[in-house]
Amino acid sequence: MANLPATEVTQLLHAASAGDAGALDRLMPLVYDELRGLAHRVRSGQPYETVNTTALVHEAYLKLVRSPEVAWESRLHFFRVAARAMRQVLVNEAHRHLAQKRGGGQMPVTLHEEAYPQPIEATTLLDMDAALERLEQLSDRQARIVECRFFVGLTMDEIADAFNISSATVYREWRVARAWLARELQPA
Amino acid sequence: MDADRWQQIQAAFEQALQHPDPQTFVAGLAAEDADLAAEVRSLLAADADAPAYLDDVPPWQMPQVPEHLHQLGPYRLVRPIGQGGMARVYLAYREDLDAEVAIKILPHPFSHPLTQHRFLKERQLLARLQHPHIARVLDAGLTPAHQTPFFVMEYVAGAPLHVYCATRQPVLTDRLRLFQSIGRAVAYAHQNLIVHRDLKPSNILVSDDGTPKLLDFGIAKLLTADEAPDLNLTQTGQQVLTPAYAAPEQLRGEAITTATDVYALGLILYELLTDVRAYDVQGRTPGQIEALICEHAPVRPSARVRTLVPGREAHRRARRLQGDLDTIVLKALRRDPADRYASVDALLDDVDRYLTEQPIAARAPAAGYVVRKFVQRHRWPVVAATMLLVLLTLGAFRERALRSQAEAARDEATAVAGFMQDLFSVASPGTTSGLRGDEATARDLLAYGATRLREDLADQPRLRAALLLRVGDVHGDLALFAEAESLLTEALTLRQQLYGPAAPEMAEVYEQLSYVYQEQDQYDRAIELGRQALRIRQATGSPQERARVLSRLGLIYWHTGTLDLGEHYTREALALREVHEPRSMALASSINSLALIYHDQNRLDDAEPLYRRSLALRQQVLGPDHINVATALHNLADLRFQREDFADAERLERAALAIIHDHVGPHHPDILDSNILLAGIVTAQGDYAQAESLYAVSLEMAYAMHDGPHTNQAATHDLLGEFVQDQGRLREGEYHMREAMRIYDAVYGPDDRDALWARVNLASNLRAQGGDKMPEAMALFRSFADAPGAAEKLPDVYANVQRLLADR
Repeated sequence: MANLPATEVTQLLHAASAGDAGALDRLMPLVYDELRGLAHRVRSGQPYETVNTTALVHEAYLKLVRSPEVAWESRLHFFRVAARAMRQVLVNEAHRHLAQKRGGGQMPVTLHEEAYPQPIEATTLLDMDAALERLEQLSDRQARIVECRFFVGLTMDEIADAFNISSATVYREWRVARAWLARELQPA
Repeated sequence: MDADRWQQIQAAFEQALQHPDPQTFVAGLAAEDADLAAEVRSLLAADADAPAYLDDVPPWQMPQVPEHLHQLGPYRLVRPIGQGGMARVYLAYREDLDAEVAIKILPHPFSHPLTQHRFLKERQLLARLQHPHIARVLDAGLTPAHQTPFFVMEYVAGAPLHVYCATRQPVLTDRLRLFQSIGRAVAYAHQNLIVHRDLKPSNILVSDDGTPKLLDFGIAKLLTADEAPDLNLTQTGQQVLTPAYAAPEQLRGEAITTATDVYALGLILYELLTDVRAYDVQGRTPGQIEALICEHAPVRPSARVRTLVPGREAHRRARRLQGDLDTIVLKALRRDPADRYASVDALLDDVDRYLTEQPIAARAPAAGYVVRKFVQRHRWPVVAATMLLVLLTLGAFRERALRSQAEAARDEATAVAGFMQDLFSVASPGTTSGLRGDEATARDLLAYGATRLREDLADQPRLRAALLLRVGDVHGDLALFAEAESLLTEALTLRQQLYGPAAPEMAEVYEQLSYVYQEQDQYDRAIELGRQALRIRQATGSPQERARVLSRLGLIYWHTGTLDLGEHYTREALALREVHEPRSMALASSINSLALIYHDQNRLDDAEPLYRRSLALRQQVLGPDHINVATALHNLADLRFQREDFADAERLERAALAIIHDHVGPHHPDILDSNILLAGIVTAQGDYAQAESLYAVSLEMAYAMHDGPHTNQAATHDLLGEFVQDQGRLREGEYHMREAMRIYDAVYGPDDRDALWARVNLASNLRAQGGDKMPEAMALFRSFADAPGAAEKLPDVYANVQRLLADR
């Protein structure tokens, strides 16, 4: 997929900006493949937790879009798609990671709820993914916002632009989605 | 749940967040839709206790230590070792000292102001604590990159308590000793007026040699705030807690006291004894957990063990827990805080009795009643107690040393007596005064008297002056200061014409007027008049008269906060009176004044015996029901309150109030002071409803008593504001803080110490509310920092505000 012409992505972004919702869906697999390839190369043996997704998405953007005439607005559409793709990449990585651990019989047993010295665990990531799927049923927009924030690290303002809504709305949606997720992810 | 329902929930959640007190809002909601209310409540709890990774942007893929944190001053950050609340903890190494430390830091600027506030507060609270079982704070600073505050703590190489127990499997007595060490650390924190509020096994690290250390005072609370006022920010009503370790009163949003920590220790002990949590919350929703904890007592540890361990081992372990240990744990876990151990020490004592095989106290017959009483006496609620400070500035009781003395000429005295008698005869029906006897109050009579004085005695200036002085004095005693001032000024003019400004007759007028000005907070005029009186008395007065003026000046200086001059004059007066007026009310007053000054200098050990001597002397000289006995009772109550003997303080204050009320009626500054102290005392004992009504009445009185703005009103606004803020009602708090500031600004000017204090209080309140209140909050902080002399007037507050401004 690396030799995908940049213009194709650019055209899809233009179409999305013009209101073609299907354009974003067609963009998705392209971005996913690019991100997965990048992640694989960048990581080269490092633990998956240290992959910097923000950098990956930026790199993917540079590779896929490049074109200077793509408006900021389109760029943010790209991030919106990239967020979904990044989520997918990371979730697949986490699955693989856990499978390897199981194979080696190395699953750590958590005695209590507090993930004590962990930045984030593969299982948490998968829980997050599952929770997001449930959130999608309640509010698709909230799930998308969480993706942008959590998997790519877009700011509230960037998200607002990507969704063409006000920052205040993003914040409100994020706040309630965050509470909902915190509750869902609460270690029982 | 479907999308429609979710929208409904979201709307209610947002409304709750915007409500000054979200819990109140939810409680209101519960009446209509209990399900909805439960959802919102659990979302609010989750909102306040969201895992840090949700707020990190983006979370897990950050380098192990973010780049900008690789080096913080002399500390090299090595790796993350955990998180407490919103903060991250890193292991760091200090090369010059070859020491490992833990560095706690807020991860990023998303942090809610409240989170930042908690973080800074934890740092301050921890700095107060020096205990072998509490992780110490070593250093603090701001990150160069983002000016985010961090603090450096002792690094504890060890495992969380539950992990330690699971891996080491210590025997029962070792577990109990571990528990005692933890408990002693908590008790020590309580002695320092700090409630931890978030005790749980993961917050206790046990080093390899078996020494436990308490961590994470992130939501700890200071019980009495004697530090900078911006630390009195209260929670916005959001609960920050770990549901499985929360006490019922925390879940219900009720007052949190030391009893809350007793409960948490009960849970920890339960877990130490059984290796499982008291409540099995696995797979339950927050609402279900809340119901479980609030409505069901936990299964006895011994019975629990039987269900967990198979066969004979279970039987053996259960037998050891049965009886005393079951009783101790369940007593600590009683749902009603008043039914628990009265203190952590009491809990530890029982564990100690168990270990030394003595009968434990919790099983003693009829203990319930006694303990309940004891708990009520010793409970330390979470209250705003800048109250103490404000009380002192509000003024303890005004002395009434300058009661009229019969030193006018005999004939004048006779004439005065005749006039007074005549005056009071109008109280009988059928006179032409227009006053009906049964309706006439002392006030009406005095007003009538003042009129008659001016009309009837125009041709007898000496008598008129003397009567103006007396009637003015009585007005002053009834807190009718405007009338008193005008009557006394008239007397002053009259006597100046009659005798000249330096005549002995003038001294008395100067003194009385000085008193009235002092009562109206016009201290410069009060001092000037007092000095004039002193000059005359030093030249021509008796030792008694000299002592009286000295004593007055001492009091005025005390009122202005010039304590060294206050002490100087008061000691001089006291020395004269010890010799010339032993066993007198005057001596008692001087003793009291000196005690007040010591009290203000926080020399409590010096002040208390003087208060007691003053009280005894007054009771001896004046009898038990005299108004001046009330003064002494009040002052002693204030001191006992400060020393946290709340029951004693309440007893003393109620006795004082009863006396005052009988003497001066419901509207008098002394009643105000008394009400406010009583409000503080009942708050300290957990009776918030009564406290609030006492404050409300006080505020009404403060306005009824003074025509214009007066510092009594401001001080009462301030107290009520603090009180409602502590109840989580920030908006209401804001109103009172604004009023307090407005009045102080008007009375003292905006650069005065109290005015500055009020400004910071308001700013802190607005900051706690956050959102669109922030700009004003920051503007107020800045204007505080820019005010001339702010650094000298309130150095600690100034430092905090500077830091806060720098942090932004």
